[in-house]
Amino acid sequence: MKGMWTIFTKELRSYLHSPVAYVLAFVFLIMCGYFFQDSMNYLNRYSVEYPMRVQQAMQMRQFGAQVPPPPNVDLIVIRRTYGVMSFLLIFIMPILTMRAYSEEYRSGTIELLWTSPVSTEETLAGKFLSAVTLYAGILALTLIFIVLAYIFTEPGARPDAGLVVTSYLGMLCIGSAFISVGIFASALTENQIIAAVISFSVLLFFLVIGTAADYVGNFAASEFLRYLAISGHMESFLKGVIALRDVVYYLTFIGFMLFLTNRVLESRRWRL
Amino acid sequence: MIEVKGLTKRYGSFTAVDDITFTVEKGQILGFLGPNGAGKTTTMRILTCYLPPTSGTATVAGYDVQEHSMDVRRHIGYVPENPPVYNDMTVREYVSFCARLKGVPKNRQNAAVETAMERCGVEDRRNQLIGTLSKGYRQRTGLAQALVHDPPVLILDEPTIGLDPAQIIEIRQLIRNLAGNHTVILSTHILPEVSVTCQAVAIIHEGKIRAVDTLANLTHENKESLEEIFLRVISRDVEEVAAR
Repeated sequence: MKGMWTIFTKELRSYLHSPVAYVLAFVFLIMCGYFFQDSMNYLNRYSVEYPMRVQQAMQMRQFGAQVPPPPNVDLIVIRRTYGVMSFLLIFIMPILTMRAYSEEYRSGTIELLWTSPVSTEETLAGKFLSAVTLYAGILALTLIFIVLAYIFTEPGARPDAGLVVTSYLGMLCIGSAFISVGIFASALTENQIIAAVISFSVLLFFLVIGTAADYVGNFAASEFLRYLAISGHMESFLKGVIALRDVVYYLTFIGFMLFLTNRVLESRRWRL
Repeated sequence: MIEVKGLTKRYGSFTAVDDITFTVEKGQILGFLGPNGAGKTTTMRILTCYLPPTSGTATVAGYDVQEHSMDVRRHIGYVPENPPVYNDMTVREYVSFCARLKGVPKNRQNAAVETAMERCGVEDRRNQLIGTLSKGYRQRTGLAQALVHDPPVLILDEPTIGLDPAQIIEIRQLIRNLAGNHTVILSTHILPEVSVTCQAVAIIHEGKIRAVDTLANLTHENKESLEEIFLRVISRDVEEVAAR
């Protein structure tokens, strides 16, 4: 436990002392900010045009026109912004985590870690948790979107607190899953670029199998692929639901990735 | 203090260390001598639990390197050939990180860090980033890392490589001062280093121990200097190969 804490503080410190984390946070927040303001603009336009649209729909009612749904900040802003955000993480996480083990291999400091009285599990847990903590910190900065959405909507049409909580919980889950993939890739090679490319490919693969599932004829097989796809499990969180199947999915995913990483580390040690 | 029995390490079909056996008494400094690629680093990595041996046993401070790996690690300080330092840390941050990593109790950490930095002569650079240090200071920071938890056994892989003559003398002095309380294994291919700092010598060549004894015995019995012994042991092999 103590060893894990030592590694955790050291990793967090080195994240905060290197420009990489700041550059990534900057890019991530800029991109998220763009999609957020885009959604807010759309909400604004929709709200302004809404009375007119309702009127039109009323006049055309005998021809079967439906009354359009009222403007909803949860649907138009929150769900859309956070959906895009979880997608953007695919580009951010590989770069954030690529140095976790690669850098230790390259600089030879892995010799220090592996000859100190700290187990590989403790080191791994420390590295994983520090990356998650840094990510949670960056994520906390996006709370400004919620604040802005709250300020610029009218009472009664404000973001739903429950939805905000589940959205952040989902973001934390999916982000941690991405981090576990990134650390796994980093443990494979001493080249940071290769590590980033591997984790990007793995993440893309887990994203794509969801769409691939549509082309699979066998019902069971396509359901299975859909369940494996990483992004699909984010949807229930964005609907304000904490579904057990999705929480279990993310926990298993992270656990399995960390288990694989530990195997890689141990086998590397035996082969050296 | 250190007992190595029939230690063998193979990398695929290549045998790096071939059935070596030696012991180091408590408080002794053993010079591990051999040409480049003789298997010195591999042996040291096995002793420090970085690599598992293919066969054979090694005990350090009474603990087996495979059975009680964590206990062994608590009792050794190891300086690899390239000091395992983080370039983005200051000397003080690094040494104090190592103290925590090696499980120095919290109330003794500050004192341990100060002592280690002072012993290795890096306290005047305490707030400098390791990345900006000269080679000599990096080497000494690496040494401070190994001394911070005051281990009974020290394993130093070519500790004076890349140092200037004045620094070499300082480091050798430091290592000599460690004798008595600490058991030290020091690898090198610089012969005078052994005669100056070590009490015992093990000459290793192509993964095999060719000679192991105290320095006095070795040079006295054969009435030769260390250079002559070393060259004889190494060249015997060269001649054998040539004869074949």
